[in-house]
Amino acid sequence: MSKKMIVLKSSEGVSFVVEEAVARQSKIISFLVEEFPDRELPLTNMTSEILRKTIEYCKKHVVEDDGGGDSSSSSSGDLKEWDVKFVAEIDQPRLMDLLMAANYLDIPSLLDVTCQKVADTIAACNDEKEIRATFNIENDFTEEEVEAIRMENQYPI
Amino acid sequence: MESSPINRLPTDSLHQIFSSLPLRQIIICRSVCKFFNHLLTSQPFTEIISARAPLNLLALRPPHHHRHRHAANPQPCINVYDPDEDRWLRFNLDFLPFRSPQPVASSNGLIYLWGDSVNSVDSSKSLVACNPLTRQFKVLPQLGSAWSRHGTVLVDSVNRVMVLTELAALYYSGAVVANQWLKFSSNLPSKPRSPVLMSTSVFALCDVGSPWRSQWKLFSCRLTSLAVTHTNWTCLEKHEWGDIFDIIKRPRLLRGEGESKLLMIGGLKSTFSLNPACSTILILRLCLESLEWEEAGRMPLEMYRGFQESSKFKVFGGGDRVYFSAKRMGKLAMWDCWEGWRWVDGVSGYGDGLCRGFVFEAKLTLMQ
Repeated sequence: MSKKMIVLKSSEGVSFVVEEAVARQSKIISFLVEEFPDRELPLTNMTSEILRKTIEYCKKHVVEDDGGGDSSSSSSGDLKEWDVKFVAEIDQPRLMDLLMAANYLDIPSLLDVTCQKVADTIAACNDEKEIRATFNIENDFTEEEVEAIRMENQYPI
Repeated sequence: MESSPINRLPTDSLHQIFSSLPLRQIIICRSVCKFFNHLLTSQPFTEIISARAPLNLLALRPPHHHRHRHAANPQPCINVYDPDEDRWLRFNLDFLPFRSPQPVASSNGLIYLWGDSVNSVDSSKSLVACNPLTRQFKVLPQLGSAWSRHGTVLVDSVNRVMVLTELAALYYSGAVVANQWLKFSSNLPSKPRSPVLMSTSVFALCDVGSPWRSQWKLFSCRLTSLAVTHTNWTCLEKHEWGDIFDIIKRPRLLRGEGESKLLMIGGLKSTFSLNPACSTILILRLCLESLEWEEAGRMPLEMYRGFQESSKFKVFGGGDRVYFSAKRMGKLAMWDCWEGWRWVDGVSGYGDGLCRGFVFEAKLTLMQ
């Protein structure tokens, strides 16, 4: 029995042919496949790079009903380890893009993994300066405003 | 500078990211940029994390500046100690439209303070509830000036407020009779010492002894009986307690762990003589269910030496931790019911060093 394949198209117009079961982890694609069978699905806000990453994740996480695929042999512990490695290898701007892709395509498990990675990155910072530097955020407060908001790390006067 | 990609994330995802962070980290994040501050103080986000366990902090009452009351104090603030991180923090209170705010109590993330109105010249003070983390505040209905001078402010875990004096009590639930204090006369034999408001009862010590020799008794009053017009205090006594009140000099009460433990703290008398020296400081714990006392802690002697010289010391805190301050000490002694005793350094600005404080469970909840 041949698996049903569908075609996803990135913003650069590159087509990716994936098994339907893999793509269906996205609730949006699941919906689109039913509404528009046998059509290429254009994902105009996703670059090829991010789409490739997303598919890589979905392939790893697909649960195959017929038991024929090797991916179903992954235990949940292995899968978690794989997830950690997966997000660890991605640089920060791409992690943000991947998070947005997970949000847009509605892939809850990928969204959880990427959000957790961002949270861990924030939690690893010691203070607001380090957070700004890590995420390339501009400090748009005036000095007085910072004074008013900051939970100050200093001894009482 | 191109805006950070994190600012482009959808709000739902940002909520998911930040709500998985500890409260301490969330507070730090608020001072990163305007976008973060707005996001992390928004109503939807605060609702998500409002169930989060609070930070268990100690807030110090600001030092009194009687002599130079009008000296410039441009930044009213409250000094707070974080025992888990062993560090001092400062929350600004400059969002309050009151002069020289005097924080006195706290519950459920809110700090209660007396504030002088900015424009009035009279001496009446307002009782204000505020959350320094969300910078929200609410002014409670006016009370007479005598209450602010003599009353002890107690707040329970659902933010019902009681102002207690020797002769009467004011009670504000915000619900019973809308926006109004209920006044009750009191039947206490003397000025209540270190009253504590726990789930449904108020506890206080009263001296029923003679002018020459104090004799302390524990009194309690159930709040459910507040429907009547007087507070009905009863003396809590048990034969088995024996002379437990006689072994402690200058006893005071604090709330213990949970809702059913009461702590009594004071000097451990070395003899039963009229004005005995103390050998150390003792913490006793009363279980309110079984009504049994047990020893919870005893200050190590080398630590007590600092307190021995000064006849006066202050006891404050409650819950898992009790703090002690004494004149010219410049640091606090802390008892942690799990980890024992240690010094807390870095207290300054208190002249003679005799500072007082209260537990502040910092939360990011919005005010109702």
